[in-house]
Amino acid sequence: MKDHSRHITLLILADSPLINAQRLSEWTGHAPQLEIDIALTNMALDKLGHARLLLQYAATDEEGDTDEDKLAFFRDVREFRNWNLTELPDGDFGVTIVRQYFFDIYQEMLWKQIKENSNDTHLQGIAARVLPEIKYHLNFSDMWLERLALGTEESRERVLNAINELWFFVPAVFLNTPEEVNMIKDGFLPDMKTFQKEYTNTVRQRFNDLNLPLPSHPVHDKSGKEGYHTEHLGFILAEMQSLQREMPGLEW
Amino acid sequence: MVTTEADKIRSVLSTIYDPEIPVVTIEDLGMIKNVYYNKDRKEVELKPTYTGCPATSMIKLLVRQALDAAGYEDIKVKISIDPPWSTDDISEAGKRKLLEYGIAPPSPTIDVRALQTGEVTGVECPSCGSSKIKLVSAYGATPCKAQMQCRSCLEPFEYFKCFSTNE
Repeated sequence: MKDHSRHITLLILADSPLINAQRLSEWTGHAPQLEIDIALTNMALDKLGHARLLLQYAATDEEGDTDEDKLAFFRDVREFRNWNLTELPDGDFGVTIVRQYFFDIYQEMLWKQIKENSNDTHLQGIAARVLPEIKYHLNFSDMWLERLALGTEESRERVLNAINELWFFVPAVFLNTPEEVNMIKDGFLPDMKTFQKEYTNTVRQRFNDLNLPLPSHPVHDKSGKEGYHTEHLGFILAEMQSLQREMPGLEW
Repeated sequence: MVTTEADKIRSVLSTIYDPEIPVVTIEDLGMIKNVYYNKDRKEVELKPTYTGCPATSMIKLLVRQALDAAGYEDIKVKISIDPPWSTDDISEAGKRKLLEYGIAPPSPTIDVRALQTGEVTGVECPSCGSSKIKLVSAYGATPCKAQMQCRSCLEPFEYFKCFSTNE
């Protein structure tokens, strides 16, 4: 039986930016300022581009007839491998910013490791493409995290609530699924477990600068990479996939 | 001097303008990776710019149409991301054309963190040439551009974001 580890690992890499893009695009026309509206939608487009590169790669890695669109529009919740953090509701702008910050600190570390240490040249090529864009995204969420954390009493309170809710979903992303374990052995994927400390320290240091606490409550042990999701993903997919599922193969 | 088929194909490609920025060609932007035209291989390899750039599909279509119109239906058009495109691939002519059009070309001396403070160095106003520039937003009308304003002549303008892969 064929080992699907590489295909699944590529879905793990693709699905987080895909769902993040879907969530960010929900801000279209609703952001607090026009400039923020443009920024969030531009970021969504970048993330979609990242997802597409990876879904295209994943499609070539499977036998049979599949492509990026079939993978995006015809998989169900249990087959999606995105980090649960990315499917959480946008909430207020504070929640969206904290969610983006947690996500992009991780993305930057992950893709930097892939660029430097993966033995797969195509994946390294993708890393070189996505890293500069992730830096811009991180710049945006870091900047807004600072403004909101040190802004008014209300902005600070909303950021504190966001951190309390979202941190619960963060640490699990560092647990490797069986497919990732195989691809780490192969040298395809870096072992992000060894970077968990660096991630937490980076976040903690930044939070110290901004007088923000890192919660110490228990955290979730499922990341979503194994296919176990929150109640939110179903609704996202229902909206995202509805058109293709109603009229399969529909094109512009 | 002999003009090879590959040269002729390149001159066809150099007539294709970027649909979003209609003063620069895909050659100016450094999007043409390779042109092969021999017995074993008939291919044009393009380097896409930004990952989410919606113009990429349009450009691929324009390339296909231009090649077909010139009689090169037998050439395959492929997108290659390895090595990735960076703003370093934009030619000097391309950068000049951007500036004339009113878009500040990417500046390798600009620092991404500088986008945080709002104080921009290394960029000149396309209208008056002043280097006293304020950042309005790191995001502009397209994902590849940022919005800036000249503090001297007060003209707003767009800046083509610098994406170098040498970091």
